[in-house]
Amino acid sequence: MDNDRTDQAESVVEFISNQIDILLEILSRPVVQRQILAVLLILLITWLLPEGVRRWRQKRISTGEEPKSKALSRKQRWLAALYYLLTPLLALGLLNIAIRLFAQQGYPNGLLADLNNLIWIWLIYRILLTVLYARFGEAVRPYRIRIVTPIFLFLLVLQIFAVLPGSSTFPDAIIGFGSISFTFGNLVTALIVLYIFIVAAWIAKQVMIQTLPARLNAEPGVIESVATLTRYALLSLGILLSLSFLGLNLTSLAIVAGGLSVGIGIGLQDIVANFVSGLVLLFEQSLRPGDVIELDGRISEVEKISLRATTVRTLTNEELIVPNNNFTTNQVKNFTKSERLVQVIVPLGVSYKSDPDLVRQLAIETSLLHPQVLADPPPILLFHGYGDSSLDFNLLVSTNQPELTLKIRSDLYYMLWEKLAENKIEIPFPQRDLNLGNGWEKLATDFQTS
Amino acid sequence: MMIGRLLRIVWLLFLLLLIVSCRAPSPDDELSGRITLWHSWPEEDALVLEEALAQFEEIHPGVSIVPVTLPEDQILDEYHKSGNDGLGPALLIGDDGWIGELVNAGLIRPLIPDDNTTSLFDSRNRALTQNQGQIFGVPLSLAPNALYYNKSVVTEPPETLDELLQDAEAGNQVAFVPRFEEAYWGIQAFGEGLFDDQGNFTLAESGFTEWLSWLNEAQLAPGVILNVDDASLLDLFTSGQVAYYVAGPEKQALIATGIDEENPFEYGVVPLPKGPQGPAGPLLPAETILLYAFTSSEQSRIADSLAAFLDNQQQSIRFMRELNRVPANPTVRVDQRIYPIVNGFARQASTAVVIPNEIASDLLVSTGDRAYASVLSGVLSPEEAVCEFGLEVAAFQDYRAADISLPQGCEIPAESLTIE
Repeated sequence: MDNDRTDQAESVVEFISNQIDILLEILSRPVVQRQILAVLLILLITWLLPEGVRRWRQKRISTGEEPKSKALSRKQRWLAALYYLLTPLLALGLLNIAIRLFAQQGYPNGLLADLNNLIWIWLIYRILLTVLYARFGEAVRPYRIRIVTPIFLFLLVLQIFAVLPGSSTFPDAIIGFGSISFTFGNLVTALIVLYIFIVAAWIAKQVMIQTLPARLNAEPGVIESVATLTRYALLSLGILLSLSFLGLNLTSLAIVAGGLSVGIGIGLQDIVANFVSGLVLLFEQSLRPGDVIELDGRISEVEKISLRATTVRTLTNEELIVPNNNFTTNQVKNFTKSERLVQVIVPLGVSYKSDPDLVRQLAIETSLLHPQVLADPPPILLFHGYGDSSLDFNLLVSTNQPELTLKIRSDLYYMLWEKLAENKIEIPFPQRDLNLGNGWEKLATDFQTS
Repeated sequence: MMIGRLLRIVWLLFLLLLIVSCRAPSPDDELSGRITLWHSWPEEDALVLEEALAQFEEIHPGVSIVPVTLPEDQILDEYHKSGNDGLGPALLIGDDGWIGELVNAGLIRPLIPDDNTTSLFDSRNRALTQNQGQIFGVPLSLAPNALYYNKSVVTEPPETLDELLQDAEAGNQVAFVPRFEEAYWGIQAFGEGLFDDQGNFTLAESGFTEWLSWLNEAQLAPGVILNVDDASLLDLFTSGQVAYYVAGPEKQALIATGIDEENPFEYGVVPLPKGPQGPAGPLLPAETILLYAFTSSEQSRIADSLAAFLDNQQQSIRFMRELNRVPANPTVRVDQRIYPIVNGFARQASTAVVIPNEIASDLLVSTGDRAYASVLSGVLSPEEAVCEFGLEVAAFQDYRAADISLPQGCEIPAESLTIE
């Protein structure tokens, strides 16, 4: 095994050394040097000229000859587009002149012709971006980064590879890692397939998030969950297909996966349990982003459900990352599972001298003044009983903001205190009537004797 | 801003590489530099080639040679592509039949024979590499078709076509591919070849018509198997079902590995049987070292020196001894007792035919193939097929009537004559 690795390392070093030798051999040829110098000259001109135009415009703006405004006029937009295309257009023109000059002199111009293809790709890329930005504005940006630019970069790399001597044999070149070997062509195909699936997964998620809420009237959390699941499914499919393009037998992969699962079961038990719990949460929908839950006695709002853990935010604004396993194995109070409506109970005691009907009226009126207390269902005051020193009531109010129950209860205490005070209704402190029966007379006699 | 930075890096990189690569040639005559050599030799053969290259590097310590193996069916296209960019290899080991095409494309340069190479160019090697009066490349090894025979059933191989037919009728079957390249060998046995000593196309005196007639009759004779599927003929020979098989030296490895283990036999190689007018003359393909047109002067010096080195006596013997290659170097003696197989091919090479490089060989072969197929399938008589062949060659080579001689009764139509 060590010998194999040494041989592989030696062959890699030899390959790199050979490529450097070939490069140096090629660069020492006058025909190549002529072409490279022409290319450098063209690059210099195509860089300097647009730079000159840019500086000239900046000077005009600074001297006031040209208005400076954020909103571009139609003419200015056209000029900006033209400026964006100026560099490749200029390079293309100069390159074609150079190609003709070389042909006239009988010099080989294949490298210049190859560069011509590259510049065409660059020009088409810029034209496409110009059109897309003109039509869709900044919304194009994520699509440009994820789709347009990588595709054009790939085409550029492909063109550059095609120029290298002996490049037609590259697809059949064998790449080996230990007992696994595949061709360079298969590796490229696998990467392309993987990229296509990554992009498709991203697009699918975007489309679902943007279109499904309007069509299905579904909650954002559900859409997010479904979109995430779809993305993971597409990514998994992409990875499997890529592996199959690398010549890996998926059946044997399944066997390997079976073997690995034993190891995973032992070594990564918690992670796998959390992962499976994440899937259960996504499928079962027992927990969704936006839900208000009580976890370990703390009320929190669910922010994001990932496959391994769920992020919740407590009322004290702490972010907790809770492993998903906690939600499937422990009891979790979900205030918003089927609806967001919760009831807040505010205990209230008033003096025995008070009129219970007046108390009810005042309590209900006061509670309705609170902005988070709903009028429907209406607040009610339940007569709880005759306490030791007070008539005991429970005020029940409804709210659709379960995360604010503590605050609502506190607010209502304040408001009721003021309201009852205004109406001379006493909130009594505990009073005790001490009754000693016959013992009182004996106690008085004992006191006088002493 | 980023593009500007990138451009600056590109500038620096190229300038650095140019400075590194633009070394002045060494003041003395000692070779110094690096060159690439492209070939399509099989892996085992390539190892022997690399040994020879290592020896050259040992003699010239300042020289570095990078051998690159490319598939046989892609190497010419790759050479065209890289050659047009200025990125071609300094040396290419390829077929002599590529010379015309590569000269026209301006991708190979002529070799001016010097003290080291003069001895390599006898008339045959000159003919192999000559184009428009100049020599392009150095022939490395020869590959004429010859007659393989099964030594376990044949004690005395036939020397004439009549003997071959008699032996076939007696049970020692003969198999060969009836196409232009593979079955060219009988033309000269029945008359002149298709080209005279000056390289002119001539059909009037050629034995083409008679050879096609012989083939047409032979295909009906018992024991003669004519089939364009060469692989199946090879199988028949290696399995011992046929005693004779016509092929070139490149088939040796396939025959050696294909011989039936349960019915093993030794094989021999002798020149193809003579005809009434003389020895058989198969076509003579030659593996040739070609020199890239756009190398630097120092690289050209190394390339010329290496080409001469690979074709010298010692290296030719190395390739003959280890790879059974038939040396093109005329000074190498191929001893029949030491190298009996190579000797068979070498003797055949002495009567083999070289098609001038100025001829569009692809068109010549495809036109010739049609002539063979037309006769053997009974569509045309041999005379008609040869006439049609001559007219088609005249058309694609743009020959005028004065340039060629066609058989009697076969003339180029007046309207197709080139008007100057």
